[in-house]
Amino acid sequence: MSEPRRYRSDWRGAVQRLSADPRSVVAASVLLGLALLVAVGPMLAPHAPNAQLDITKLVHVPPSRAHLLGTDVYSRDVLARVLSGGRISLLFATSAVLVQTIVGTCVGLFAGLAGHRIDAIVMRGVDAGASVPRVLFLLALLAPLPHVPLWMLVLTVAFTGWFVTARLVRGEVRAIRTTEFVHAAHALGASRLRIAMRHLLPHVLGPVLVTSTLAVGHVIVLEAGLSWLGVGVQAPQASWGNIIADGTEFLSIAPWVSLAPGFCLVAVVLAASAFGDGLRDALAPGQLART
Amino acid sequence: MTATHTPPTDALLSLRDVRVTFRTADGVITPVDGVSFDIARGETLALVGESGCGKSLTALTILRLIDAPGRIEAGSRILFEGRDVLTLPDKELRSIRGRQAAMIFQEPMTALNPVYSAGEQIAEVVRTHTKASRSEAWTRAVAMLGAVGISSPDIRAKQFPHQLSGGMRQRVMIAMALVLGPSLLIADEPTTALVVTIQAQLLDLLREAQQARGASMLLITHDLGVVAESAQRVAVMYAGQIVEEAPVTALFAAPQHPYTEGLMAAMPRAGSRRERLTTIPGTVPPPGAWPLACRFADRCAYAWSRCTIEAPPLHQLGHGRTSRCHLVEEPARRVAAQATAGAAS
Repeated sequence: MSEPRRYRSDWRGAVQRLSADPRSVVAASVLLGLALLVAVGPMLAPHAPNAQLDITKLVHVPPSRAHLLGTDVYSRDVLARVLSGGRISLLFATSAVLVQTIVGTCVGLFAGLAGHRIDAIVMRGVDAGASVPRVLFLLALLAPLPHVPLWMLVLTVAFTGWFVTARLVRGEVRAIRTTEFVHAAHALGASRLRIAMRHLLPHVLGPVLVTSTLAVGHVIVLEAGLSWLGVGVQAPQASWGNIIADGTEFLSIAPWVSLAPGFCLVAVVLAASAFGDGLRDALAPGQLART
Repeated sequence: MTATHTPPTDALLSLRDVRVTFRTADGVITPVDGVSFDIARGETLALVGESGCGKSLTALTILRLIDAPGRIEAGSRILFEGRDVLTLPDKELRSIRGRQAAMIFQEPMTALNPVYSAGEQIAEVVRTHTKASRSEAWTRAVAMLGAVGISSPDIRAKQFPHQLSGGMRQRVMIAMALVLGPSLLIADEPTTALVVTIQAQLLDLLREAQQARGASMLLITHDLGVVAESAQRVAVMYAGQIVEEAPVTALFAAPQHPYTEGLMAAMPRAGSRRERLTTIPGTVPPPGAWPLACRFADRCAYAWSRCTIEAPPLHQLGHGRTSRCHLVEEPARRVAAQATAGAAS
């Protein structure tokens, strides 16, 4: 007797459609390429990201053979800094999105399965949370603190970003929980938790994945913005946001300092949103046979 | 009145005076209004009636599957294998659902989860109720698919609902219901969504599976043809109440309630030369708009003044027969009405 194979026909179809879509393939290559680059790059870079090479002679050297992306006002190698900063920026974005997706999905599942009253209370809370301007809130929260460790920064960003996911999941669950197959599972003795994990979660996974991919682009910009405002990743640790911030003062004499991380940032955001769109299209046909 | 008599000891399932109410914007409605019946071990009871008469809701009460805003009223009693379903704690109730009493739904298209293969859905039922390992559950699922007449079950088990035909999907549903060997099957219009030829096959399958396991069945249908083939006893429901109950042969030989009579007259017969099918005039009134006395009076060919004044009780006729009609007390009126109808045509 053969073992059950743990595949979902829908997911297989989605992967096939995704790999047939040039936009998604390009976007995925850009994301993977950049991830690989920042993962191994710092080891290969000829200079340390924080090393001040020669503060008299090597300040604001334009891109050259020795310094592919030039140097900054402290004579640090911009390439080394962009690679090292990219690590932080990408790691920051993915971990924050991971946390906010998990929180949002749990809250959404809970509210979607709860009775009308609890659902209403939770979702009004979500509405309230979502109505607070995120950057302003984070600024107010983080600015008075002397030094915020990176993990705490990730958590604060994540806990202001789960509202959209919660709404999405809750809406999907509300729609699916009245379908016949959920009734059938109920009638065959499945508990609420079992129904949530085995029947509802697989159905919300697709849309959740799409929002999360799109959220990566959003959070990476948010991190850059916060770092630019001085409450994000703290110097001397590089991040794309604070490299751009450092460079803005000298934009007219050394534009390469801000341009290099800026270009990376734009590439990631565009790729993430293109991939998210592609994923949505790939998952849409027959993703849920709702009748 | 049967409403208060004590259930027979050999009954697997007994419903007594079951009442379901819904709170709506227009007030409280009672779509199931005092239903009582028994099902003996190994017996099939057919519950027959038009759409909207409350037969599906009645079936849902047995496993307490009524969702808000519906509620099963206090005073209702449901005994299953000697246990009072309506007061069981949730956990015990869940262990009955699917294991001792299993439901087969009407729509095999939507009652299967599109993201799981046929085998996984059956294995899921096994794993919900037993400590079987993944591979044990899978083995049982494949064996069960074979038992419900699916050829090459090990291949079919890996297919998803959209890759199976309607008939096969319903077989998967039946396999899910049978896999743990329940003592009661509740089949809510199990073949309505299927082609006629497949219907017959599946009814045979259900009957055989049920007889082989000595299980009882509550078969909900609006099709009297299905009743004649599959059931031993019939309960006819109209507007939330049981209006007639009888052994199947007796019912077909001589229906007592005018509504049953109308249902039978509406059945197309082979060899009949009538060009138009007979129908019962009007439709089932929605709950809340039911006539106060006899609920069938305004559609009844025999109705007279008493029918709009006094609600008929469920008369006991002996030999396990009941009828909720004043004609039981005034049989002469039936003869007279039939004579006039005969003279007119």
